[in-house]
Amino acid sequence: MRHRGDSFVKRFDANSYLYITKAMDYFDLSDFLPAGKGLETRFLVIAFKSDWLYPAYQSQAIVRRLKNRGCDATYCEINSTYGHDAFLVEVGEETRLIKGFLTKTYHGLK
Amino acid sequence: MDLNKIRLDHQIIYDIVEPGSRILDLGCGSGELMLLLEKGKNAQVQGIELDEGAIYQCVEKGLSVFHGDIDSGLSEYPDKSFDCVILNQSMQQVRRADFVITEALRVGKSTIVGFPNFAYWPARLMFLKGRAPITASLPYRWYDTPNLHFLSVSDFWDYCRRKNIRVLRSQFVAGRCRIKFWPNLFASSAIFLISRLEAD
Repeated sequence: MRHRGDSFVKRFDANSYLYITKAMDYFDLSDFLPAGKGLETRFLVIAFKSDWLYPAYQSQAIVRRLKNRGCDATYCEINSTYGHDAFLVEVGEETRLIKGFLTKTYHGLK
Repeated sequence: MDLNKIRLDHQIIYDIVEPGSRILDLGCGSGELMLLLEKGKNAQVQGIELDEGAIYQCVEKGLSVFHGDIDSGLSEYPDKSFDCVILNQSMQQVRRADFVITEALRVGKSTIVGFPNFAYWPARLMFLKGRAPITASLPYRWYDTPNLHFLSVSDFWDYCRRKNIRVLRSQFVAGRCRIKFWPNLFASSAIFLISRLEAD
């Protein structure tokens, strides 16, 4: 653990964490959404029940905001007990969702 | 597409929906009705469903769905943002049925409500025999039913009168037959097309 910590500090400046955190906190998707209707982009938002870092209610808020603007958005909350790392583990469920979503998007473009 | 192979309640809803309309299906299940309306009526459909397995099936069909509860309302949708909101066989399963219908009427210009009729004659017979009714449209036992509200066709008419809701159409079915006569006794399910009375 100490060895990992030492090697990490050598290749990563702690200040950059402050900048990344700040950038994440200031990021607001709604800044990029054009006002009014007519956005053609389709959205798929996936949340994990046990993820406390990116809790499902925040993902729901994103989807509600999108829907309020008339955007086409799909939302699924995967029931998993793996916490934030669930996205690395629940591959089967994610694959089903992303595959179906991309197939539809692709056929919609044709 | 062979309309005769489709569930009769879906057929009736299909006939009500105008081509090209914007539809919200509350409690959309695995999305059969949504797919039917999208393919056959060129409707812009989206759904809300609580069951995770059903959400996967919807997404695999290419449908846009929201995984969540309808009991908490439809605050993300502005007033009249849909031509029609569908509550087919799901209204009796929500906790706050009155609130959900009110929300459906707010976000939709009209609402289709489909529900099992608790006063269907076989149900009455079972009740007279002293048993909780189990019928084709109410197939569950008391300990495994998802239904929270048990109402009859007459109860729904009464509800619409009390709440100043306009009934635009009403259709009744029993199995694969349409029922015209005495639906409160002979229909196993009812489908109502309703709107706010002050609709413009």
